[in-house]
Amino acid sequence: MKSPRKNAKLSDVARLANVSTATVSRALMLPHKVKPCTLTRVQDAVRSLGYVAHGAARALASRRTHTIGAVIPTLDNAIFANTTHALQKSFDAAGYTLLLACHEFDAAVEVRLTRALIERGIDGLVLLGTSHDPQLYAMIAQRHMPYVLTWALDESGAHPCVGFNNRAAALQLTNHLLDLGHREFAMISGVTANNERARDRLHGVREALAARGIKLSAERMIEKHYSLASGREGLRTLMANARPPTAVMCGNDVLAIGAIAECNTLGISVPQQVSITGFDDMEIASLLSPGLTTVHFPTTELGQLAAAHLLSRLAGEHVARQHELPVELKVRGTTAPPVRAQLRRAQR
Amino acid sequence: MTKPAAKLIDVARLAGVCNATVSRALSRPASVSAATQKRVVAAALQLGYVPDGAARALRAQRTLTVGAILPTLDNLLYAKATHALQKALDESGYMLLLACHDFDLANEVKVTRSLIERGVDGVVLIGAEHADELFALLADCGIPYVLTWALDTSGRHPCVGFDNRIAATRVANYLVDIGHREIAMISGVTAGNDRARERLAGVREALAARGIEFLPQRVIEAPYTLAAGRAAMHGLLAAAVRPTAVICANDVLAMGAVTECHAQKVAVPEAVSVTGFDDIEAASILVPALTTVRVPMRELGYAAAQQMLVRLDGGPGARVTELAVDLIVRGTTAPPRAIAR
Repeated sequence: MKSPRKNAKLSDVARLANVSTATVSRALMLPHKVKPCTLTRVQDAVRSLGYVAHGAARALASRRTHTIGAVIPTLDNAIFANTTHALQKSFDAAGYTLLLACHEFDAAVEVRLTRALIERGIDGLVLLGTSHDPQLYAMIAQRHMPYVLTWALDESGAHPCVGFNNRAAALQLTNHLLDLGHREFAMISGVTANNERARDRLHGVREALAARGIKLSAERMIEKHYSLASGREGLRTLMANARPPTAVMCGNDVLAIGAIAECNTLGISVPQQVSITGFDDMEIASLLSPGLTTVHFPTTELGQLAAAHLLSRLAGEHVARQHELPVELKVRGTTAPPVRAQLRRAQR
Repeated sequence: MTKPAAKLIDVARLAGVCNATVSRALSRPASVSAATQKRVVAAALQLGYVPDGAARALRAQRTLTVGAILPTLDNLLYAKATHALQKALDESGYMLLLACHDFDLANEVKVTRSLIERGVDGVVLIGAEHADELFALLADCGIPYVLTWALDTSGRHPCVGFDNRIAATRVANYLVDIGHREIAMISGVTAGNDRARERLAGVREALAARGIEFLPQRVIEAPYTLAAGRAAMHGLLAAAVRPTAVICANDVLAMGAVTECHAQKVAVPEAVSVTGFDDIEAASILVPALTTVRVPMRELGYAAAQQMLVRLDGGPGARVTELAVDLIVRGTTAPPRAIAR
């Protein structure tokens, strides 16, 4: 295999893929216009050479553009909006413009968007989470693009990151419910594929339960996209079981708020009949009545710190590779001891 | 008799070169020899060849990227419409890049310039009010644009939106119809925000038409945050004569206002009615659910994408797409106590 070269040209890609340079251009700009086999050949060549398109963009990229790129899953979640807003404000204060792209939880789209941002000329890159396509990491390395991962911590230590320990947060929250006397648990998890935040939260829950000899059975574990409607559906499915859970842990606040809304619709009282928890502590979580028990993630601080991290790197200063932000359990009104435990206590 | 349209391969055959050379000659003339370039152009002219999308894109150095510039990322206001915009553009092979100006029209010029420098084929803007400099920049660079969330009354700009003023008029009229006379408004910050200004103007107009006084101290401008909605409601509840109805310029402010009422044990809607604007998903989930104006956000994003795609294909310029908005009456509004009794 050829070793990656820093400044591969269009003609190098064309030569390696054995096509004309026009075909390379077309394959990169309008992939649906070239034959699949040609496209694969061009893409393989691009990958192995670490090629980034556009001479002009490359020239631009070699000097400061005062632009930072951020690639996030979606705008359609207030919690990412919080962090992104803080990022934008911090970069703006330092004279940088933030350009944003959303991959909608699709790893291939993320690679494409990141490549486009790099090609357009950015000085630094902010990514969300630690699970990314290896192609993406390779591209960043070949371009020597300063970057920072956010929201999660990279256990390998290979990547600079500012984030939270999602597993530890889940452990805390689960232990709170266990201490209240819950034994019948269910979880409406976020989609775990390509999302280590969702995965770590699920692992944390399982781990805390296992420590007390409790297993999260298959019919009590539902994976859903993060939306109010999914929270509703998840809750409905779980409560239709012959033995409904006494505690439903949700992968984030949006799912939890949806689950509570469904409880209201079904006439199930929260927390008397079922306790519900979220993750993140969105602003609205404390405004609901009863207020949502959740784990507070300091998302504004995360945005500020991620920006500061990248700005320091761009200024050539040394910064700690890993920065963990503390999370905090927020016990509010949606969790209470299960009815059975209350009964047992009364009988004593 | 019409001939079938000439294809790239026909040009290649006539010019005696390969397909790739035709592409190259048309897209980047400097990359082929002058003689080849001349032969290809002559063949293309003779055959009346029109380059297909791919070749045209290459020649025009299209970036297949559209930029959208949002006032804020801080809440879900623009998320749904932006999501729909992105999906529709994606289906046509365009990528969406976003930037945010923080309700600062001078900053909007700066971030738009940055987007254009990075390479975008078109720009989607929010609202009808923008700095003259921004329109000049777009004209100078020949960048097509679409205004969204509002209607441009000058008729000079393509837009996809709705009439914020008429929508606000309907909210005010509804409250008057159910008996409210003591009406206050938590408005958005109107400077540099035509949507906020139009909503306030609509309420003012409707109340004036019904002969109801709209006291200056009953209008509070607040940035679109839950905390600002709470603080504004706090101020209104502290007044010697409390309003019986509070119109909020958006759902975020309304949710903050309702929260403040809960905190002060002021019953909604019995003691005070509260309305929002936009109908974000959370509005229907609150208890009581929020009475608000439904803005068809997905439709708005989709229609903006369609209009942008037409313009990117060289289609007509200024076009107005007006969307319908509906008043959604839910649990936070009721007749004032004196009437209900």
